[in-house]
Amino acid sequence: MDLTPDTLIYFHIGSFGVNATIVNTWIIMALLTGGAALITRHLKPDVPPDRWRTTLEVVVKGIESQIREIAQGPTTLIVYFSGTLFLFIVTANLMTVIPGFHTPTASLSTTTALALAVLVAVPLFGISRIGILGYLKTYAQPSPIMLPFNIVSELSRGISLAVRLYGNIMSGAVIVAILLSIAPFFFPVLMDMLGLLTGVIQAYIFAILATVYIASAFDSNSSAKSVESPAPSDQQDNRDKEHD
Amino acid sequence: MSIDWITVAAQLVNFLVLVWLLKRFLYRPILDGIDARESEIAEKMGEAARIRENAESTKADYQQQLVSLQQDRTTALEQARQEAQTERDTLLGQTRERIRQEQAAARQQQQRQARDYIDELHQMSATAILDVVNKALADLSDETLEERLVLHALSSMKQQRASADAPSDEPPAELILTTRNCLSEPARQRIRTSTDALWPGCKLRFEEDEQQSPGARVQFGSSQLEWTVDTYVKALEAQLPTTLTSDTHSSSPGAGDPPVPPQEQGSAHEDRQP
Repeated sequence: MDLTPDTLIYFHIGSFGVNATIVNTWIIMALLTGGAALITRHLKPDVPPDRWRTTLEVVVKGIESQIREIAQGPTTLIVYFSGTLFLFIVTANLMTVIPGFHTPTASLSTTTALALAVLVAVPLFGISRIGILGYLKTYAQPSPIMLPFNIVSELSRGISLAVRLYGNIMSGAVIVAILLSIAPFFFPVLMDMLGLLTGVIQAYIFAILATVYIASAFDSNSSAKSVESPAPSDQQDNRDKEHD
Repeated sequence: MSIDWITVAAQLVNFLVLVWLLKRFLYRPILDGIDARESEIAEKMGEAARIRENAESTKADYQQQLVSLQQDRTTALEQARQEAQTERDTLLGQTRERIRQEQAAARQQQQRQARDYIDELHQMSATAILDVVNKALADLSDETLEERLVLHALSSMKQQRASADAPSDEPPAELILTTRNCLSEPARQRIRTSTDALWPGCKLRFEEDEQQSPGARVQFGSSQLEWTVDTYVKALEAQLPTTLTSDTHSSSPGAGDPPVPPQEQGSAHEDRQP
């Protein structure tokens, strides 16, 4: 039994073997991009929206409203980032019900990549707000003694994100595989249904946690700036606007 | 549980590409479309608000005009009612005045008719009385009464000649005294005495005419003098309208005086024949 789709090589590009994780990721990317492009190709303001466009609008506005509740200030870039995280993970998790489809989120490589993306995005968003020095100072808050603890905390966030998602999805896929060998007619269906619920919840948790991390970086930056400057919020908002 | 770092790098690139693709094909179109639709909706709502404001203003204007029209109508109705009331009062006043005038005219007409009727009644009464008197005098007259009438007539003639220019006249050659009855000889003698005093040397001849009213008719030449009951009653009858009018309409103290006898007015009738 393969616990990860990384070992399933479909073809080679040179000496690099393209495994099922990458291919299925491409399939999911094609589905998301193709579907979005197909629905939004004739989008005009004066044309009444159809049901597909309305569905996409509900999804996008739902993501935006969730992020706006968590993060302060401009949220457009966070929507792009966290929204893509949610859509990719939830689509990959929902596709576990397709027989023979190896979902990429069941690969620790994929979840590690997503966690690395979050780990990189958090300081990037913070630096984009207050600059690199201002962001680095946040690691020494409230005192320089906390610097190693803050660094460990930052790394543990990424590790927890990656392992949590991987563990949940991989465990669900493994349990379904085991149950298929023991009781192939009833319990796998129940576990697939449970896997759908778990996959949606995990996607939501991953995206929300990423947004919270980014927002916490914003808040710490704001608190640091508030100590140094009497009116930090205005300057920060201006930078956010320029960045957007 | 192993990590393929090449796969991790590939997935990281895949994720970044997916972020860009979704930004390009999903988020931007959807969010821009929502923003455009919101702005269009806001614009339309603003336009609707302006139209509504204009409609409200127009409605307020129309309501103001309606109120003004109702007030004008009420004023016009009140004015028309007052004018109608005034016209009615005027017409009623004119009608009452006309009725009053017509009633006054009718009253005057009735009074005039009553007065005319009373006058006519008086005339008829007087005429009847005069007829009765004439008939009574005619029936009761005899030789003695006629002798007295002739003497009275001659006396009147004498007074008339004394007051007029008769002395310059030439005395007639013959006098013809006509009576109804034959006078007695003493009466004839007294009459001759009287005529001699009036016309000395004049020859007197007596004649009788049964058709004549009691009295005397003296004929001399082409002239004659007559003083009979008929001429006396006719003189009274001729004086009767004036007397009745003065009796009915005049309130003067002399209105009730009895008529003047004909002889006192010189009414001895004298016909001068050619």
